[in-house]
Parts: sequence; C-alpha cells; structure tokens
Amino acid sequence: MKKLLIANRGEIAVRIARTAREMGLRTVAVASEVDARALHVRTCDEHVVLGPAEPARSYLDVAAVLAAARSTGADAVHPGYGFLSENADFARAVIDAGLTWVGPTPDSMDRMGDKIAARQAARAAGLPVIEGVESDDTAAVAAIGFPLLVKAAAGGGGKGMRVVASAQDLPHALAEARSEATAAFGDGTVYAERYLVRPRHVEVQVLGDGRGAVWALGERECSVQRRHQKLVEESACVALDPATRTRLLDGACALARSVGYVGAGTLEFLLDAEGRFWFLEMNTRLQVEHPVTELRYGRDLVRDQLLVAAGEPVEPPGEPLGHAIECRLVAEDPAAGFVPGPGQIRALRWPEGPGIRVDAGVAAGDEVPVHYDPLLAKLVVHAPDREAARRRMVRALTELVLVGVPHTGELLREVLEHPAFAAGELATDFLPRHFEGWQPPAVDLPLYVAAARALSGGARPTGAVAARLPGPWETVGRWS
Amino acid sequence: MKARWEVGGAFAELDVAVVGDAIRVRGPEGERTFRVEQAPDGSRWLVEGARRHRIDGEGDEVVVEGRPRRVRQAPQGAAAPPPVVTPPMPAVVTRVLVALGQAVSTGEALVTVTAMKMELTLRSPRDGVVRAIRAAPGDKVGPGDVLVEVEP
Repeated sequence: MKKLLIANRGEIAVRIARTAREMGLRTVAVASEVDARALHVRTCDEHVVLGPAEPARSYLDVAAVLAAARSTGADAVHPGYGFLSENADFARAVIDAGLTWVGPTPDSMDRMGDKIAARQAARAAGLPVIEGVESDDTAAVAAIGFPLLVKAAAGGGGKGMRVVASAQDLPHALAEARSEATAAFGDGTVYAERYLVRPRHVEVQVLGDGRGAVWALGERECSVQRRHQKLVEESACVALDPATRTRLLDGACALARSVGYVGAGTLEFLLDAEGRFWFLEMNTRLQVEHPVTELRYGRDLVRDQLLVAAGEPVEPPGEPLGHAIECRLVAEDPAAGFVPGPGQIRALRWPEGPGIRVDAGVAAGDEVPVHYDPLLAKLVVHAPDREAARRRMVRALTELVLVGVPHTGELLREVLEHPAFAAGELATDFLPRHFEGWQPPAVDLPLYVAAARALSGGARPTGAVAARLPGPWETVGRWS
Repeated sequence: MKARWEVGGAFAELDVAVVGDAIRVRGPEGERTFRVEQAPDGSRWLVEGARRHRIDGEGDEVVVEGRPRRVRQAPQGAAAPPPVVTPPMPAVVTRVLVALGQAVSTGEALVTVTAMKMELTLRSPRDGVVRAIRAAPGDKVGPGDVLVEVEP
C-alpha cells in the first residue's frame, strides 16, 4: 500500500489523510465541483474532481471514484463514513479492480448492513434484541403494542423512522416510512420494534485484526441527539456498572466474531434505567465519534484500519484511561429549530491547550456548501475524569470563535453546563426535555456595542505595535 | 449621540462615543468605559479596569467569551415586513406543490427546499390564490427570494 484514495469529504477526509501521511502513504482526495478547493483537497497530495455537487453525480458515483483511483495510481480506498462507506457493491468493485479496500469484507457488510438480518445474527450470537417484528404487516406490527417504532431496514440517520403512539396512526406511519426509505436508500423495506421511553443510546467500538481476534474498545454514550442524530458523545458511559459493561462488551465481540468481522465497526444498543440493554444495529465503518475512543485508548483507529487492510498485525487494546467527550459543531441554528445554515466562515479561532483535539473540515474563509451534511468540526477533550473533561469542554467552547454560519457551539456549552448533564442524567430525550425552544441568553449590551465599535474601527487602539500582522477578521472575507 | 442598537435580536437606546482610545457607552443601566487594545498578533481586547475581554468577529458579528451576537445600529423606522414565502437559509428547491391560480389556505405546503441533507416545507402565510411561482426544482434560492406569491 503506497497511495490511498479517500472517498469522502469534510472533516473525516482530512482526519484520514493525516494518519495516512504519518504512515508514509501518498493521499488522493476526491471532490465535487463545489469542493474543488475545500480543506480536504488542500490536505491531500493530489485530487480528482468527480463531477457536479449532487452526491449522486460525485461522491456516490462508484464509476467516477474508481476512475479517479485508476488515473492517480492509488492502490487502496478508504471510504470514511456516510456516502459509499456501507455500500457492499462499492467494496466489491474496489476489490475487483485490484485495489485494497479499507473496511470489513463485503459479505459481512451485507450481513450487518441489513438491519433485519443483523437482528437475526445478534439473536443467534446470544445478544438481547429489542422485541419487534421483521415485517410491515399492520396486524403483526400492532401486536408489539404501542408506542412502537417503525424503522427502515436499510436505514440510518433517523431516515424512515417513525414513533407511532396508537393503532390508528399505524397505517399512515408505515406508508410514510416506506416512502421515505425508498427515497433515501432505494429500499422501502421497513420493520417495527417496541419503543423504549427515555433510553440511553450506548454503542461499542470493535476492532477485528483480520487474524481471528476481535476486541472491544469500550463503549460510547451518545444520548444527546437532535432528529435522531448525535451532538455529544462520551466515553465511558456513567450508567454502566462493571458487570453490565463486561456483558455488553463481550456480547458485542461475540456478534462481531460470529460474522467474521474485520477492521473497525460499531454496535449500537439501547440501555434502560434498570441497566438492561438491547442490540439495535451495527455500523460497518468508522464512526463520526471514534475520536473519544482513540483518546481513551491512546490509539489511532484509522491506523488500525490501514494496518488490518494491509494484512499487518495490530496491537491488542490496553486499559482505557480517563474520560473523553466530543461535541459536534454543526452549521445549524439551534435557536431556530436547527435550520441548517450554509455560508462563508468569516472568522475562526479553534480552542487550544491541554487535552483538546479539533477534527475540522473547514478553515477560515471556506464556504460551507448547501449540498452536504452540516458537520463543520468535532471538538474532543480528554481528562482524568468526567467532571474534568466536562469543564475542559466548557472551556474549549468558550474559546471557540466561529463567525459566518450559525452553529451549535453556544447551545453545546449550555448543554455541558446543565446540571442534568453534569450529573450524568442522560437519555435520548435530553435535548427536547431540557432545551426545547432554546434561545441564546441575553447579553451585556454595552460590552457588545463597545466590542462592535472596536471591531469596526471606531476606536483608535492602544498598545498597538507598528509592524504587526493583520488579524484574521481583517483578511477573511476579502479572499477571492 | 444617542441611537437605537440591535444586539442579538434585542434593542436598546444607547449613547456610544469614542473618547480618545476608549469607548464610552451610556445606557439604561448606567455608563461604562472600555479601553480598546490591540496586541501585536492582531487580537483586540476591551479593557475595563482590571478586567479584559478578547473580542473576535467580523463586520456586525461579534464573539465575546464564545458567544456570537449580531450587533448593529438599528435601521430607522424599521417595521416588520409582510410575511412572504422565502427560505430561512440558502437552499435548493426540491418540489413545487401548487399551481398558478390555485386557491390555498394558511399553513398549506407550497414548496419544499433542501439544505445540508435536511428538507424543509415552506407554507402559505395566508388564505389566498397563487399569483406567481418563481421556483423550479433544482433552483438555488436564499433568504429574501420570494418563491411563491399568494394574494388574498
């Protein structure tokens, strides 16, 4: 393996390129026309423009990605997450083209990618699976009892998912979920399961070394979500006692082993207030929130993926250390129902200092396009214990400066400062329960007005040094 | 000079004056004076006695202690504009759900747009008749673009 094509964009493409470079690999970025000068392109050694902005004609175009690998002489492909990462046919096409596929085998992707098949595999491996029916027959589904959850077999990201409160809403919900799943995944198969009220969302990171070993690298708690999409993730989960954790991690390993899993993967579970857990689904790829695991285990999961793909040995995991928290900075306005807000980043200052990691897909001056996922960056902190990590994240979010697009930074700071978060009282309804209708707090008017004046040059600054460099807000915005 | 200022959606009558290297603000809560300092790296600081605040931002947008706010002198006699069918963010039109001349009622879905993988439905602000349609699937649109005109 000498040259890696990264079939993705944004922060994950940048993050993968960094590890590849550390390992001495050349890197190839792919981009749509609107991304031709994006940060991930600037981070890689070479790039290929695949096509227009629409994902179907660029990042999801299997033929174009393979042609890019051919024309650049890349010998391996890393899919990142989203886009083609869970597409087993793409994985097969990569392998058939004689390239190294950085991911699990296409057969295990098929097996675990279909949620109905995954439930059956989990049951066979002895994991508790949430009560449900693998059918969309109205009578069979209604027999589960209400409330229940209708989900897309090919689903992800909350698409095709419906909470159904009563029997009279069921036919409509099934029809809607089928149509949404068809539109999003090209597969309208839906199934139903019992809806747990106020569960925690907990997941297990697994790593198969390709030589028969499958390890669990601890759990991640991901209960703080909006629209079934995560905003805050942490490891460890405060709600797991040692015995439950052992059962959870061992069960996840058993399932991954039973399908011959190779590389990095994540098994998602629901955990109730009594410490009971149920298998939900497996993601056969690197997860957005993988850095919290990396910080606690002191390892690089992308490096592990590349080593496994190259047939090299990887180290078994040691004991985890301390506590890690990740916050997702997303270009959405939390004061307006999380409406997404593309635009240009006109001023940017990332937090710095001990225990802070920033995985960003944008830099000052960059355009955030309208066509893709709104994730701008992930702030990740590591500290000796949860309270220290929580305070560190609050500090990091206080240092953050990001101007030009709406984002979740200020809301997340208040989430981290909330007494329920500090106490570890989390459930998937955390955000609606505590932050419904959230508005940024009132501000100190004179301070802000004075600040505005200072910025617009109304005051002659003191302490200025004659030969100084221009500050970021003096240069960004004027870039061509 | 006294003026009306908008800060993060709130309004206040303030008298803001530049006095030498300082900014004096007189408002309902009294008077405060900040000195403005600029460090060699370009960073700017508001100094009030022993306290200092790093100031970041660009144009009307100011960030103090991680809290971003729009700060500007409020326009004179600004009245709330009549409601129109316009997207709240830059977006791409996915579907037009009504036809010219069609009668619609308040809250009826007119157009769907998508931005960053999220779909949003724009609804009629009033009962009326569709008089103009200025959007087609695939169009790039933004706040202020009136996509559908509905006359009472």
